[in-house]
Amino acid sequence: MSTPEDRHAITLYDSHGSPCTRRVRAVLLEKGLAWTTRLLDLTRMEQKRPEYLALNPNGVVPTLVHGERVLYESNVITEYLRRLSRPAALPA
Amino acid sequence: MWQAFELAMAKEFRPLMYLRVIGPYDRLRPREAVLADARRSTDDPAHLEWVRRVYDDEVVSATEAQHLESLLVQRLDRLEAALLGHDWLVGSQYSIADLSVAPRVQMYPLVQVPLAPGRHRRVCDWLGRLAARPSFARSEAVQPG
Repeated sequence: MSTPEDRHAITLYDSHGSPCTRRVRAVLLEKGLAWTTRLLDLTRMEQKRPEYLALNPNGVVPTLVHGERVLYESNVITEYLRRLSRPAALPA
Repeated sequence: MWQAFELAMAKEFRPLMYLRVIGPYDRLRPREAVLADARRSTDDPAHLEWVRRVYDDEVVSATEAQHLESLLVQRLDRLEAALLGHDWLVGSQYSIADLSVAPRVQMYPLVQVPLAPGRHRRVCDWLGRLAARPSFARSEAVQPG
């Protein structure tokens, strides 16, 4: 059963070649969730731009925005996604 | 436990990633162009100094790089032991633990730490099982925005 919270749009701040963003993508796919990608070029230090630091003060990828929630640290994000009520088989 | 394992592995892996992947990639362009791009993103001296060190191949010494390699291989040894008699890291099914650890392990060859079936057959088989899952296979590529 889905809740109103689950229906908010998901945005993932992502980058190529990052194992941390990859594990978030894997959980999103596993759960069948749709998302919008905002791509950061780490070789150009885009993760240190002020507008990104305002979202994620650590200045690293990934960051996930779900409605009003802003989450960072991939393990925190994957745990959050795992608990979303959309059905999927992904044990802890 | 496996999330802590991954966090520790990341500390060993990242310097090699900057030394062996991002540095050579940066050096495909002129030094000033790379530094100018970084300055457009940040004026933090520490971040800019890091970009310079990566470009100038000063991330870690050769001795330190060898040490990091050996630590990463020890991680494979631990995974190999954990997978003895198990298809997945926790229990009998695919879980967040596998997703936490596998993406970085799969990238070992990129930082010139080989995944050798001779020594780490169970790790290689485990990565093969993960690759057979459509969601994990698709997760390798960034999705178009």
